[in-house]
Order: sequence, then structure tokens, then C-alpha cells
Amino acid sequence: MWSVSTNAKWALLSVPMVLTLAAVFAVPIGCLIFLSFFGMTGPAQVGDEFSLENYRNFITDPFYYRIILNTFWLGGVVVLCCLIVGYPVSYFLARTKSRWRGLLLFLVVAPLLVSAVVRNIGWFPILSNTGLVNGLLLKSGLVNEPVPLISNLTGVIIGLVHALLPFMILTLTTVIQRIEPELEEAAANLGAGPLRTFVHVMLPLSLPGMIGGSLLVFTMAIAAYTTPVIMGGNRFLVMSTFIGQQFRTVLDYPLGATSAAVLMVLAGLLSVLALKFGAPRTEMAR
Amino acid sequence: MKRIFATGVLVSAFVFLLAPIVVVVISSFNAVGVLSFPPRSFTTRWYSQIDPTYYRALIVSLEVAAITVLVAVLTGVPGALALARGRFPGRDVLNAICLSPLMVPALVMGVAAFQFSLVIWDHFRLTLGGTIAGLVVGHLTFAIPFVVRAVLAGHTRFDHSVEEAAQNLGAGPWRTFIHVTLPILRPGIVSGAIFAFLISLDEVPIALFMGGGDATTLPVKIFTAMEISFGGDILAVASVIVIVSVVLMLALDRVIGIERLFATRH
Amino acid sequence: MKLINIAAGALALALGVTAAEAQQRSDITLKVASFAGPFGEALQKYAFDLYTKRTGIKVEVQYANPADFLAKMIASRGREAPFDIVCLDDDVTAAAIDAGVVQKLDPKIVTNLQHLYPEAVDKNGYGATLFFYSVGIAYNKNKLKEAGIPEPKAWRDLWDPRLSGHISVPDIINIQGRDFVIAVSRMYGGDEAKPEVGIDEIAKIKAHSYNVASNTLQAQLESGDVWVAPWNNMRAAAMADRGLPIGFATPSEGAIGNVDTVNLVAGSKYPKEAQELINYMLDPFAQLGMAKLLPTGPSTKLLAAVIEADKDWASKAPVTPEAHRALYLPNWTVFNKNLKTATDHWNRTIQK
Repeated sequence: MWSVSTNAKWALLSVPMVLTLAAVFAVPIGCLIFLSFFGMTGPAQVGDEFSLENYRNFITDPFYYRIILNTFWLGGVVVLCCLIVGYPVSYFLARTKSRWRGLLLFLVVAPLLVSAVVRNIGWFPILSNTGLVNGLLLKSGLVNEPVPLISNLTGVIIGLVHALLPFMILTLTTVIQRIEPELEEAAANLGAGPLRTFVHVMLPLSLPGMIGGSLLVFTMAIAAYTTPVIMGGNRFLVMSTFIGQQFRTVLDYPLGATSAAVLMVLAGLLSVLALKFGAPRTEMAR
Repeated sequence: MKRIFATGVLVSAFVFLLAPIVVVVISSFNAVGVLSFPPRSFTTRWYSQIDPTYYRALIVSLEVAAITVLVAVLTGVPGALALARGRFPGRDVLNAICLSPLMVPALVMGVAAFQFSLVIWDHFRLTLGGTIAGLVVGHLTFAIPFVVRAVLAGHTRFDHSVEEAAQNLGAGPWRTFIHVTLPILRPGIVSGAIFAFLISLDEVPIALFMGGGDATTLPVKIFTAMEISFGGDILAVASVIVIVSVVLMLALDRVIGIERLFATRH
Repeated sequence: MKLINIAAGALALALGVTAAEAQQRSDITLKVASFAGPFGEALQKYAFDLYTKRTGIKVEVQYANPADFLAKMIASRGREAPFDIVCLDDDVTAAAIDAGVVQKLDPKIVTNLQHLYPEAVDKNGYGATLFFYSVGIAYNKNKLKEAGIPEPKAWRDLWDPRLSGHISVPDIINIQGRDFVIAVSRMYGGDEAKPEVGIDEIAKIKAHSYNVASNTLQAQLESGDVWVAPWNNMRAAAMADRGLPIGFATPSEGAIGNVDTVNLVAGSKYPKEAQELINYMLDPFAQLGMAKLLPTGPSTKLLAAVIEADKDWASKAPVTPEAHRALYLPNWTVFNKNLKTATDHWNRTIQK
């Protein structure tokens, strides 16, 4: 009954999800993106001449490329940091038999408990020039002058990694748990050191989780709105800040819609590529 | 040596995760200034000054989050299974589409949802703006993808032989699903549900556009209040949320054991 | 059911309203779009609660930013108005009037209009000013003393190279940012119609950051990373009241003034009741409550005697008519026409 050949049954199971997503997401966003094919006639007002003018302007303007490049670059760096910090934590949480495991799992999602704006502001006493971190650095003599850690790009990266790390950790933990520890033991018994075991056993087996977690973190990083503004001192212009300007200040809906559409298409292409790359090893049936 | 290094990495990671929260909670007791750290004065006055309407907003947030997660799990789990096991035309496209709501900045989603709610009003005379239903509709856009992705992650290397064994022993498809498949998928479902719940609880842009009046969520209330003034009372509210969540978590652990929610059998 | 009717009737008689009217009116809910925080609290306490007590009409408030309110009103044109009353910043008010989403006030219902300062009343009869506030320079007294820099007295002081890396410039998304652009433009021969002049000058400041929201700036000032910033008197006074060493200077070239207005939304189902509520908001009682909490300069002449007696208040806000007349109130109708190009120019010049 559960065999792969009853594909029609599976397709049927996905219907409630498809219908719900269509109603709450596809249709509203479709209507909004529709606006990108018209011109702006006034604040929050749209004309009725269908044209691709907006896209042509957008694609031929290097100013917009730069914003997109900034956005994707930031996403990439955040993903990398989340992977590096997150993997060891996930491995520990997946393998440990400590009775504190439940509490630690809770602590992992703790950053999400505090309102994003309040959380970002909580970083100021820690990262500012006269804050805790700089205080420690100066006192220990590692630096002679305070290191600017907030209201700049470093601040944005710290803020985004902090907010998105829980997603990476929970995803990776779930996946690593599914890899039987016996496999690692077997490798060790066969003489492989911890590094070889990691590279040849854990890495390939947890790759789908890494790709899944990375995609999740990446998409959220490029859509992040409050963090680049608060933690970055608004000095690093990313797509969501720009789009926010269009929809809330200038009220140029067509330009906002065009920018959002371009962002979605590019991010979508990247996701498809990533999924194809991990295809032989992903969670899905071959 | 390796032990110390490993412990060091872990401790640093958790310190990193908790640092700003600790700062916020400690600062909520500051008498002078708002974020002067370390605080030089102590007061509990901010807590007694919390506007009672914040509690009403907290209830609204919890309601919206709970309903959203329920619908997301009911539609997302079968959907994820379909993506994981089925091979029907358009499956890969559907998989990509499932991830796409997360690529849209929440602000854009909020505007789109609001505009759409007006269209709905035009055709069906149904008001979504300013209602819990409207908020749920807006939040489902990210809740479903989260649940789907988490369940897919939990479905990695699923050993179908366990299901086959159960069926060989005489269990029907429904029993197999409840007693064999679901427990194996449980950590994934729980992760997804937790993500969706927490994001919904903290979400601002969509709730800003779709909410209003009685349907105002707590983060929106905090956000709009902060635009006008930022004092110890905001920190107190944020800290209350943290303290309440910690208490809930400890209670949950006592009753069900979080450990068991995430445990898996091989 | 019968008991409630009798009770309502008795209460109504006591309040001087007929039984039928009281019954009917308690079915009405007025929707108000307003600002949160102390602004909202003051209005709730000194206007809305009072109004509900006297008329039985419920008041439901929603909070967001003025631009979001404008977007909602424009999107709802031709349909049910999303709310009956809206509080807006002055620049959005001009845009709202332009877009035709707010309607004129009837002085016969909003009787308090006649008690407002002439500059607080719209010439064409649209919304009225709730209060005046000023945008000047906020600074951290201790940090400037440590660095040996004199306290700023003029806009021009902001270009002092000693302040490089320690000044936070408000982003153009923020109304203070727009005020700043206009102020600087006017200093260099431009005005609301030529904001590029101001933006180019502002680009020469080596800013620490560009703040979009006041709470970020507050955190930056408190942590000491930022020493100086163009800001409004309300937030600066609030920080000083909390015991922090924050000073506020009115620049010698002239501070910019802003107002927050209250407007009747076009297409409101209850224009009469909404205007009654607006009248409460313009009443000296509500005016005093709001003005003292924020602090700001009230728009009603009736508070002149109270102002005379409270000198401390005058130091924190533009309360006297002389004070608020000394402010330059930008011509937002002209500026709004250039908002899109100004924002674009800002992005390309300043955001690199």
C-alpha cells in the first residue's frame, strides 16, 4: 500500500497543502507581482498600460545589481557561519545522552522568543565600542582601540547568524539523529580517524540536511528586513530594505513589485540549482 | 584536550545564542537609562507599569500561532510525505514552490495579503483585515513551508522495511501510519511545528497589515510602541515573554519530556 | 434584555441623551488609526475613554506607521473605509489630502477648531493639528565633554570633522531625515523642490550610521557610540528625563517644526460621531494630557494660562505661540512631489 507505484495516491495527499498555499500565498503574491507590469501614477496608485518597462529599467541599472549582489553575498556569508557554528552543536545534540538534552534544545530556540526588534537592541550593550566585548578585548590587551562590531556589516552578520542559527541547528539535529551511530563506530573499528569518519561518513550522509538547512537560512537571510537596518546602521543596502522603502515610504508599488519579483526569481533559481545538486542524496524518492 | 575544545565550542555557541536575551532581561530592571550595562540601579517599577492591554495582545498572538500551526501540520505533513514518497509529474516544481514563500520579504507578503483581503471583500463581502482569521491566513504562508521542510528533513533515510514489517504482521495502512510512520517522523514534525509557532508569535510585518483593533498581536504592539518611545516598560514586556516561555518549557518537560519529543528510534 | 433597556434608558436620561439614541449609539464602534506608546495612551485616557463613557460608543484603536495608514486608505478607496479617524504626520497628511482619502471637518460639530491657533487649522478645512514638535540636534553631553568638543549650536556644527564617525544621520525614510534634508537644502540655496542640494551636502558627513527608527538611535546614543544626531525634542527630552546626559539644541539657522494631525477619513460610516471624537481630541483636557506626556506644544489657545505657569515645560517643547511660530514648517505638498526622486538620489549618493 505504501509502495512507490501508487503515485496518484501521493499526489492526492498533497492537494490540501497545494490548495491552501495557492489561496494564501500564490494568488495574493500573484496579484501583487501583476502590478510590476504597470506604471506608477501616484502614491500606491497604478496605471493601466501593460509593459515590461519596469523590468527593463531594473535589469539595465547597475545600481540595482549592486543591491542584489550585496543581498546574496550577505546570505552566503550567513549560511557559511551558521553551518560552521551549527554543525558541532547539532552533532552534540543529536548524539548526546545527557539528561539536559531537552533543556538545551529549548535554549537553541531561545533567540526566537524575544521580539526581533528588542533582541537586536539587546546587542548594543554587548557590541558597542564601550560594550562588554570591546571591554574584554581592550582589557586583555588584544586590541588597542575598540573594534566596531555593530552599526556596520559585521553587526548585520552577527545579528542574522544569531537569529537564523536555531533553524540550522534544529534541521541538522533532526538529520544527524537519523544517521545510525553504528556507522561511525564501524568506520572507527575499520581504522578511520575522526576526521576521515567525518569526511567520508557523516558529511555525505548529512548533506541533504546541510542543503536543506542552508536553503532555509539563505532564503530567510535575503528576506531579512529589521536586522540589516538596526544592526547594520542602515549602511549596507539590501533588497528588502529597498523594497520596504517602495512599499512604505515612496509608495511606488510597481517598482516594489518588480524588485520583489526579481528577488524571488533569482532566489528560486538558486534553490532549484541547490536541490538538483543534492538530488541524488536528498530526502526524496529517486 | 579534544574534550576541552569541544566543550569550549559548545559553551561559546550557547553564550552567543543567549547573550542579548540575558541583556534584555537584566536591563528590564534598570532604573536609570534603558540599556546601560552593567546596570547600576535596580527597580521593578517597569513590571508594575506594564499596560494590561499587552496581556490581551499576548492571548491574541497565542491564538493565532496555535491555529496557524494546527492547519500547517494538518496540510503540511501529508504534503511533505507526498513530496518525499510520490513520483508524480510536477513534484520537483511543487517542492521548489513550497520553499518560495520564505523568499518573499514578509513586508511584501503583508502588503499582498492586505490588498488581497480587499479583493475578497469586493467579491464575497468577507472582511479578513483586523480578524484572527486574516492573521492566520497571512501566517500560513510561512508556517506551511517550515513544517514541510522540517518533515522532509526528518524523513531522510527513512527505512521502509519497518513499515513493511508491520504490514506483514497484519497491521492495516492506517495503523501502520499511526504506530510506525508517525513516531519516526515525530522529531521532524515537532521541529517544524515549533519553528512555525515561534515565528508566528514574533512576526511583525504581516500582522501589522492584516491585524488591527482587537486582533492586534503582541509583537506588533511592542513594535508600534517602540516607534514612539522606548523605555523600561518595553524591556519588561519582552522579558515577561521570555520568563513565561521558560516556565512553559519547564512544565512541558516535566509533563511530556521534551527529550521524548525529539527522540527517535532506529 | 428588558432590564438592560431600562438601565440604558436611566443612564441615558442621566446623561441627557434620549433612551433610543443611547441604545442605538452603543452599537457603533469608531475605528481610530493612531500612534502607539505615550501618544496612544494619552489619547486613550484623555479622549477615548471619556467619550465612550459619555456616549456609549466604543472606540477601537489600531497602531501602525502613517505611511501604512495612507497605503490602506488609498487601497480602500471606493470601498468601506478601513477606519474613521486617522492621526498622521504632517507630510503624510499632505499626501492624504492630495489623494482625496480624507474629508473636510465641519466646524459646527468640531467646535474646538475655533479655539486652535490659526496655524493649527488647515486653510481648506481638512484635518487639524494636534500638537507641534521641533527637530533639532540631540547630543550626549558627557561624550562631547570627554572629546573636548563644544556642544552643537547650529546645523553647520554637524559637519565638524571631529564628529566624524560619531554622528548618526536620520535616513530619508524617517520624517526627521526629510526635515534634515529640507533644512540643509535651504541653507545651501535649495528648498523643498530641490532636495538634491541638501542630500549632496549630507553625503559629505562621515556618518556612523543612518537611523531609520528612533529606538535604534536611542540605543546608539545611550551606548555612547553616537555623540550627536538630528532628532526631535520629544525623544531627547524623554531620554533626559530618564537620567541620561542628553541635551537638545535648537539650531541657530532655525529648527524645523512638525505637527501631528487628526483627520476624518473619506467614506467613514459615522462622520458625525467621528467628528465628535475629534472634538474631544482637540479639547484642552486631551491636549494637555498629550502635550505633557510627550512633551509637545499644544495646538489649542485655551492652554495659554497653563503654559505661562510652567516654565520647565517651555524648555522641553515649543509650547508658546512664539516658539512654534519660530519653527519652519516645511511645505510637504511640494516635497512629496519630489519624494520619489529624492529617495532615489539618496540611495545612489549615500548608500554605497
